[in-house]
Amino acid sequence: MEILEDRDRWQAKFGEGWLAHYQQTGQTDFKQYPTPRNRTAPTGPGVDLTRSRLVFITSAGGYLREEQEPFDAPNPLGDYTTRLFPASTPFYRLAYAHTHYDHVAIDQDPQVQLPLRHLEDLVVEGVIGELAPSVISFMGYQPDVSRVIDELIPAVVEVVRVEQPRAALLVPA
Amino acid sequence: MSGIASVMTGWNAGKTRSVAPPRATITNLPRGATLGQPGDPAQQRRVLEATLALLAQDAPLEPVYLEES
Repeated sequence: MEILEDRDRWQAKFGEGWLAHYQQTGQTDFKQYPTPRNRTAPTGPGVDLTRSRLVFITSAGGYLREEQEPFDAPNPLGDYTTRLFPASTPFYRLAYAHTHYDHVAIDQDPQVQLPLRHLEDLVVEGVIGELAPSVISFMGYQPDVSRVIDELIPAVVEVVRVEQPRAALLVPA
Repeated sequence: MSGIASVMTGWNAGKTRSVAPPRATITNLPRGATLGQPGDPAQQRRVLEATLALLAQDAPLEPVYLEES
């Protein structure tokens, strides 16, 4: 199954429209942005979460403030890299590099985007079997979907291959 | 991610529907507070648990709207 249906057509519209405008003017114009669309959702069986390992994926731009480089949040072309940090990371060790949402809420209460302590509680309560060791973090301003498919997704898949979760939770910012 | 069950929650119904996720909840929460209001752990837990509950079901599912704002 394709991650993005009609990828070639999307890429052409993106390249001739939004990207060309940016290259010519240095300005982003989201009126020219072709919204990625899929008609068919992936199929697959459900899981018994009480017996499953869950990986948490966040697009809020979180990173370890003293150990990792922040995402290139101001880049108009986006940042397609990932950061991994332990699911047990205390919030004081995290910072958020993402300029496309208001940080007032996350600065006050990080669990509005990264429910790490809630997830731990749900493991203790038996709702979740266990958490994958790593949180997969990226900065969700990524206008080029082809780069998402070619750069971001393989990095996510590699973590899944290594840590072997049976379920994934994505919380976009 | 073929082979594992995935789920998401989002505040943007249009964008969520446009990518046809296998399982999703959609709320009326503001951008930047996807799981609930700051300082409201009960709301965050409601959204989180309702979203995780979808993992038990075979995909695809129609997105589930949650009355959370």
